[in-house]
Amino acid sequence: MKDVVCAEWDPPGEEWPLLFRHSEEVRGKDFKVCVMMMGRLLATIDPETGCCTIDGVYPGSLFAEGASLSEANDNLRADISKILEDVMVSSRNVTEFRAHIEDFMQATDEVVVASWKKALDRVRSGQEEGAPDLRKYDASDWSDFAVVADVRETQDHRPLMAIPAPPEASLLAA
Amino acid sequence: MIKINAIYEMLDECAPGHTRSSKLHHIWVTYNSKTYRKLPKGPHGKPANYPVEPGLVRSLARMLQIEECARNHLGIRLIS
Repeated sequence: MKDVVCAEWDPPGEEWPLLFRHSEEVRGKDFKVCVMMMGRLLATIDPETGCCTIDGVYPGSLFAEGASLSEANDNLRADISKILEDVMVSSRNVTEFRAHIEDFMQATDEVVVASWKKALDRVRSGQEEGAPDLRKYDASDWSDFAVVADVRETQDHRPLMAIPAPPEASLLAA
Repeated sequence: MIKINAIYEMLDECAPGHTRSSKLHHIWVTYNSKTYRKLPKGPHGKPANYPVEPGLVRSLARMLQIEECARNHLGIRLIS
């Protein structure tokens, strides 16, 4: 999946503002947590090759690429899982895990944030449509956040929180 | 593609005093109280000086706020 190298330092192409949700359970030696995150991404699609790079907006330290948006999205999800595993092995307890995730979510890249806002303006003004199969979502209703729940807290079978199934594809911010 | 050793040399020049910490899948790079958690460790069984995607190095440099120095060190032309 990672054989494709789409871009040099500055990838050419159309920029799409995306929204994403990711939720999964992460198991460590001593504890287990559920992580749910909602954030923003900037996809750059090369119109000639279809090659796609995805930069994290919130959180900023994400990056993935692929031969298509779908493949880049799959690579991104796989990488998030690996990042969460790295965080797990670096945390002695849930409190430390939460602190790492909070730091991870707060790291932003101002250049990409500005590009995301410009791309959103283009979508809202009708200059950019995105892909036909990319569902639009009103960015005004979106919040960037991460929740880390200690799974042991759910052992009394009370629902701790509703974790929506992660969408197969990200959403186009509109 | 940019070789990992070139990235380490760039970090030595552009992020003096940074720390690198090897995890299960990635190397965490910390500089100026910011941590980049996505530098790949490289595939198992491959040469130690493995290549890394330029976009990922750009992401690392921006996160650590050393992009201009990184571009100069790695010889990346500024397009825009």
